[in-house]
Amino acid sequence: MTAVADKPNNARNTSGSVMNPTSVERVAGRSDEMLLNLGPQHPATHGVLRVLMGVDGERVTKAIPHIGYLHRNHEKLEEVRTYTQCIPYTDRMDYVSGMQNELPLCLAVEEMLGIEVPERAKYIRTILFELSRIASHMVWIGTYMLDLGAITPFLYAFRDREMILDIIEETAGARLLPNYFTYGGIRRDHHPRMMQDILEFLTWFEKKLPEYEALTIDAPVFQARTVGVGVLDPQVALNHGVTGPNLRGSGINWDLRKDDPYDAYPHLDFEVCVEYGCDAYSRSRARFREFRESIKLIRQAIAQCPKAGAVLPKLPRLKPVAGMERYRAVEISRGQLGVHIVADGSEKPWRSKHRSPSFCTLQALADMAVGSKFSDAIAILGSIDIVLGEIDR
Amino acid sequence: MSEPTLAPAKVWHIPLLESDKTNGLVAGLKARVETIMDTIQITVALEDYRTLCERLFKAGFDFPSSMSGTDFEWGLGVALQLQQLESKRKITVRTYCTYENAHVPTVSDLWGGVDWHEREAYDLVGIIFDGHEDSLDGHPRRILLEDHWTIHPLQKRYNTRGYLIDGWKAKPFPSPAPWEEGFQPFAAAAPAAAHAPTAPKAVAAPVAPAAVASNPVAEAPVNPVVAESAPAEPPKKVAKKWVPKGEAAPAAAPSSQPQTLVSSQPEPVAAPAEAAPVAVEATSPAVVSSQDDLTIIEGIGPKRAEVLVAAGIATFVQLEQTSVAKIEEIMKAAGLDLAPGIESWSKQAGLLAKGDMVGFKALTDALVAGQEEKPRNPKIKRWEPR
Repeated sequence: MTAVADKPNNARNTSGSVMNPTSVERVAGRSDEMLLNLGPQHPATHGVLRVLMGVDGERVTKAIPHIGYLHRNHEKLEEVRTYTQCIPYTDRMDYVSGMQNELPLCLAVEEMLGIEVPERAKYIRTILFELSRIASHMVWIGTYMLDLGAITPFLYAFRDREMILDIIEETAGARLLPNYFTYGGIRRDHHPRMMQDILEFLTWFEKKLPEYEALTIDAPVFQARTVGVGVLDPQVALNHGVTGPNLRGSGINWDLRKDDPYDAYPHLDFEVCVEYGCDAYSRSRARFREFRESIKLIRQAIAQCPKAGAVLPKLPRLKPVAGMERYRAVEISRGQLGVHIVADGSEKPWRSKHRSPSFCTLQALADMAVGSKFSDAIAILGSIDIVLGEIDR
Repeated sequence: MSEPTLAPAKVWHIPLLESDKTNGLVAGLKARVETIMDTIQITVALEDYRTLCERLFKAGFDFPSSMSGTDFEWGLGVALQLQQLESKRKITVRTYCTYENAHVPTVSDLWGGVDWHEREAYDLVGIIFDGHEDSLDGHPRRILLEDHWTIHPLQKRYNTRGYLIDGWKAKPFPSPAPWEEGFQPFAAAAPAAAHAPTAPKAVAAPVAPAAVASNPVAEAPVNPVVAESAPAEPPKKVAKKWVPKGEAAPAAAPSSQPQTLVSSQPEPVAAPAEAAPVAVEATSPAVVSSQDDLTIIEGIGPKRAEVLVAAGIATFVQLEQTSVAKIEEIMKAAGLDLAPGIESWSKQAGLLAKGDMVGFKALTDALVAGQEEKPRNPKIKRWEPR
């Protein structure tokens, strides 16, 4: 599990293009590369992802992701929508973690216009943000175990996720695509029982966590399949723009909730989950530990949240000055999700570019998968936790 | 409404170093440095872009946050967001190129993370990154769209459907150049029609009201082929030329009708003959025009138009004055089925006679199978292609 030290930091393994494929390793005397398509329909690709794999026997010599099967041209559509109308488009990118996607757009425009978010709205946004993180990680652990062959954790994870989705539905109106955050705060106050519901859920979930751990992270089969698999050198990860638990699983302590905080995070106390193994197991462990950190964060936020108050300030006209640009990123469950807005003085953005964490992490797939066995490639794909909705937009 | 805040209004957690403006980063380069909120933005000329990026890489900006391409209608722009993790400083590097020379040097050999971002910028915006390793035919390989695509959809010359916008013209390159002080990317307000769709599916109303206002009463102006603004409209059906009473055509019309009818009736010969003298009275008041294109009315096709014309109703004014019962009688006499929307014909004819195209369009939009619906709530937004 030592980091690969002899390659320069910014070396890439993209191995040429589709038109002239070249392979990275050829074993003398036995080089016979077969090109396999992993996807676009495959239960393990977490969306419509096609990975062109070259395999030499069972060893992967080439892994080139091909994306675009879910490209919906959000960025062009957002150019003809007002800022408020853009928010539902962001929901649909990382459709697994509902409200997290809306936040960078809201923050970017709030910062451009100088809108002040009321404290109560900040706390409620933080609470729901972390709740969405728990929900998203549950999808990850369930589907990852499904990829590796275990079915029970998937059912348990989705059963508990239903409780979160019920809370979100009662507050925001929809389960997966809530359209709840807006510029200046949230659209309307939460339903009266929300804090109680969340606390009850957290109590239940905390009791369940040891069970999850025993079933997944601490399971011997899981450890056999992920320890030492998919090593991602920290400097390579950093250079490729990998963020989130994938970066923290390689030992780099970078979490935007601490390093570029927003909403109520400056007032909350939590620790950043860093693991130093650089392999799939470390990434999984880093992600799993975030469950406990999220529970801590939500409990603190509920305790500190003002019991009454406005959730929306008086908003100015949502027309940033022409020529103004702003890039703002937040730490969602998959990594750093950023939005770059170019404003032209009208009520519609001139350009909105969404920088999604899975897009940048997938670039590093070749670095992780080349040289490993084919079934390890499946384990690696699951460990980086990608969602095609935000890759293709 | 405002609450006592726990924290000061704006807290930037990223430290800004004023010395960044004057240390060696931009020495000798055509660049403009400004500090916006918590980010230092450097706008650099295209020829110095690569040099600046190499300097930034050596200075320790090792984390590429994002890279995007934008179409500004006078050229294309690249915005590269970098961050240095130890000091948490953020830097945005912007550079611009023209449409004719949309080549920007790649920085994907410095930061592997901009590899796919450059491919996406080429794919959607059209910026060619020279030296990109994953290249095909001299340009980076497309990433989201398929390799055989030729257009770059995020450019402003295309609408959201992928069609070229009529009359889109590139603006001139801005006069204080981007790397000079006083640069304004948007010189004037963007025209409102920039996103008008020009797909073959065009609007129903043939001409603008302004053109019609000058044509009072019952003319034959409304042939949409004449309108220059509507592109590629399917040509409307033109009614048969009306010939005056007493000629052979009206007599020929009833005899030809039994061949074209689905259900021929025994009376067709008698009814038009009986209608003819009535029609003579209907046409005796002097009317301005001799014939109108009755097929424009929703519910009237060429067959019905012929029948009406044969019965002596050839203009909108006449049709408006004819009662519904009379029209039904004429239709029955000719053996045609009663159209469900006969009641609206006189209304439509009235609007057309007055030349009120806006009202006509509104009425026909509200008609479903010729029947009027309840007026719709204008506040409910209906889907329209944009």
